[in-house]
Amino acid sequence: MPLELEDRLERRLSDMARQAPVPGDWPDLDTRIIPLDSRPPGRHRPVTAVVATAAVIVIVAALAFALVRDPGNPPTRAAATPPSMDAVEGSPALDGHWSATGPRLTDEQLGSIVATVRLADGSEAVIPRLEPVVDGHTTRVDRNRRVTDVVVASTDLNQFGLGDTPGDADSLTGEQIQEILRYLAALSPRPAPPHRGPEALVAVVHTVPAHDVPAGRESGCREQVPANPLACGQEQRDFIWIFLASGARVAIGEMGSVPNLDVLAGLGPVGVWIPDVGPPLSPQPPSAKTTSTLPSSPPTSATPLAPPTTVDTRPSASASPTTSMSRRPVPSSPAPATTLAPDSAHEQP
Amino acid sequence: MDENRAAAKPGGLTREDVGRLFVAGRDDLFRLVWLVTGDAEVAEDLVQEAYTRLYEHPERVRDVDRVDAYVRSIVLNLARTRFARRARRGRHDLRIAHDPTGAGRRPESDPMRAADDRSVLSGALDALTPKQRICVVCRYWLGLTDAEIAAATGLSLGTVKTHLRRALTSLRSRVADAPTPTLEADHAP
Repeated sequence: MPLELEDRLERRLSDMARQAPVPGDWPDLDTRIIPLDSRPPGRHRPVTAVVATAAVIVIVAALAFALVRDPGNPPTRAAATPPSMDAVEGSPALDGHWSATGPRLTDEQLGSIVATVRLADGSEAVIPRLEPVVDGHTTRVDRNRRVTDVVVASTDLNQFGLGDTPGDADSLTGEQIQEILRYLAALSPRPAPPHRGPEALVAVVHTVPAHDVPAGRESGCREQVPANPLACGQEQRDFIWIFLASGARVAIGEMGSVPNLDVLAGLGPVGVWIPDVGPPLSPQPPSAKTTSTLPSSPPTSATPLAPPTTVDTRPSASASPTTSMSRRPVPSSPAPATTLAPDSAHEQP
Repeated sequence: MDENRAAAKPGGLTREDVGRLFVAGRDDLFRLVWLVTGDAEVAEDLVQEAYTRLYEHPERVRDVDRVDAYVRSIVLNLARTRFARRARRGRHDLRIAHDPTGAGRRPESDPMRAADDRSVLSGALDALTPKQRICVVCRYWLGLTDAEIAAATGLSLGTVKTHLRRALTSLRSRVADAPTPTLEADHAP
């Protein structure tokens, strides 16, 4: 009788299983397990896991190194051959302006003060609360807030041999500021917008520490440094200044502090935008450079950021000859102006 | 295999339990692997490896009553891995267990070979793919259902059915060329 294939398979497999050469003396299971337990940890780790772990470590180390080397700062915009001051030609537009927001600002409004500045290369950056310019090299950028139309070149005056000595910033004339602005504009890898150039200079001014004041002159600190709001005996403080091309200047505020309301209100042409409360209450025409429609609040003595020369509309011709640029030669190859993060800025539409 | 189930503890396995399971179930598991691989040395190694893994991680057994199925699944997966490894090395030379009586070793020219059903089946089983052989052994020796084979091997149910169908087709085509044995012939020594 023929058998079905399945039956034949069952019989055949059973027969073979019965005749399987089963080991008569199985080794004890412990003899196999003990060597396994005694293996050094990780010895038999798959190669792929080791390679993946090594790759992750390398990537993390590279990122950490990049952050430590240049935290939060984009690559420096280098100028291959910085032109000299004499080589810069052209007259920058001087109609830059700021708009005033109102006579008084609440503390909450002060916290939302921002300024949009357009760099000489045409890019735009927002300086939240006008405070993040740290040593003239870094800034935070808030893309959601924008204000004005002032083209600003930001720099540290140290690269021009200015700023470290008390009185340097205060003694800058409009002509000197314009020279610096043109120089910074020429450093830009991209041409400035047509008919426009830097109209303001944001700089960090290092105020004099008390211990640097010569002995016996402590009582004359303010007289010696008229723009220095520091009282004698105070620690060194860094202030952010904005120098308009017209020669006007203002100390916006101390590093990390809220801009001084009195200073801003007294500027007139300088303005701020408060996004949360709407457009400026009293927008100023671009030509209004020295006239303020706002009730100017005179700086009070209790306000540490109210220097007596917060607004200086002196014409450039009235500059003191002792403060000419020739007194402090400009270095032949100053650092490029990259104080505002160019990569973080966005193009003006 | 039932001895394994009896030796399991309801509250969870200990290493001592695994040792007892090893003594009770190693022979049956060896036969299974030997039928699949045809290599006694490999079968012994895989059986020990399976119980070693259970010994190292007894907590992985969720259902103590099915510990025998768990060990069987381990050893079948080890066999599949061994097959794949040898296939990648170009040494796909595993064969179904040879007849220890020596019938399968007769030369092709031996006129008696055609009449030897065991030799015919052995040759037909050798022609199966590793997965087909595993499925055939599980079905026709262990008597597992398709679903149980799928659970033991990690293959999908449809894949198991496909392997079994193709295996039977291959076996039929090869056995058909040989004289159909009779019941008496099948039991002949």
